[in-house]
Amino acid sequence: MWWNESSGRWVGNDVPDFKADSAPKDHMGPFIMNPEGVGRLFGPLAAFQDGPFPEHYEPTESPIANPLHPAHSQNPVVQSFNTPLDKLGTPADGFTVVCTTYRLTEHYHYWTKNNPMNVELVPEPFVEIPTELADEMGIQGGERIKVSSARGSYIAKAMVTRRIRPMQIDGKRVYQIGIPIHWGYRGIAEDAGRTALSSVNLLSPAVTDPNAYTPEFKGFLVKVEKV
Amino acid sequence: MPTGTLQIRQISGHSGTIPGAGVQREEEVCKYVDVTTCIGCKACEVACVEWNDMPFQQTTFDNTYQTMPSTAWNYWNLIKFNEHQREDGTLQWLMRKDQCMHCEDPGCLRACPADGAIVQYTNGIVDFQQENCIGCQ
Repeated sequence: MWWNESSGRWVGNDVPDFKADSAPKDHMGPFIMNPEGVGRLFGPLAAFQDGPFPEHYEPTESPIANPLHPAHSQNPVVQSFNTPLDKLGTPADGFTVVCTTYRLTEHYHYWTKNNPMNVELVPEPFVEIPTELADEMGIQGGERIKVSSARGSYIAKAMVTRRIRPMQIDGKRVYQIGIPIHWGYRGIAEDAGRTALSSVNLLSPAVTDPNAYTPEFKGFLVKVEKV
Repeated sequence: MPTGTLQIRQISGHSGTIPGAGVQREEEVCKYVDVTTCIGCKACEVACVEWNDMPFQQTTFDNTYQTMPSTAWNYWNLIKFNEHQREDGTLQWLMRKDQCMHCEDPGCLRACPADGAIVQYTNGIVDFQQENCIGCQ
């Protein structure tokens, strides 16, 4: 809907909720029942640490600066720790690949790595990497690769897949990899020497959102190397 | 087999009504697998191994979510993970449940030269009689 100066009316696919011949300069608008004359948005003031309205922030480790406001790329009130293990990496440090961690339907947390039934279904840890990244680095499916973040490293076999596609972000090609979490220091595969006896959570940052305290394990930066 | 014993009473991971509840069944049965709702959890594979009292075995990682390339003597139920590219370039998994489907007209029974190795019961169930098998594959 728009103002047509020659006919002196609002025209378009709808009709205005106010006088149809009230010009924009009169600021009548549809909210004639509100004293302010404009619409209202409600946000529970006490519910959110980071303001009454949702706002987009980039992850604490992100391949790009926040396109909305690059000077305040990350959430300023994010919860973080200050131990030597809480280092953050940047693309400038070589951490250019986005990593996400997740669970599999075949396993449950870190328990079922001790259960022969679940281990039969998915026998050992792996890292899902896009075909394009694998081609670039000369990695074959089943080859062991090393994934490092600013905090630690993880070694597992590569699962080369077309299911995770390269992303085009801010003019840059960004690769994402995915690592299921279910392995660790003891278990059937671990005890048989089929894993690197390490935990994926050594890679991910101990940074949590300020409201729900959900850790940022779904998007952080790593580098990928052949072993 | 008495009528009604193969009526569905419970369905895993299912909310809402049970399809066919209260229906009087005929004597013959068949197997219906709706792979469009399969999420590939492979719990049915484990259930089959357990139910049939078969040993667990070590599998090897081979760049796929599929447990092993094909069914085996001790693995009768295998979800095949087929990647399918849609027209818009995105991918989807087409799950296939590899197991005996108890065909109405079983190809294996027609092809089998051994007397009595494969039988079909009057209720439609196809069964394998190991002692009559000559191992011709």
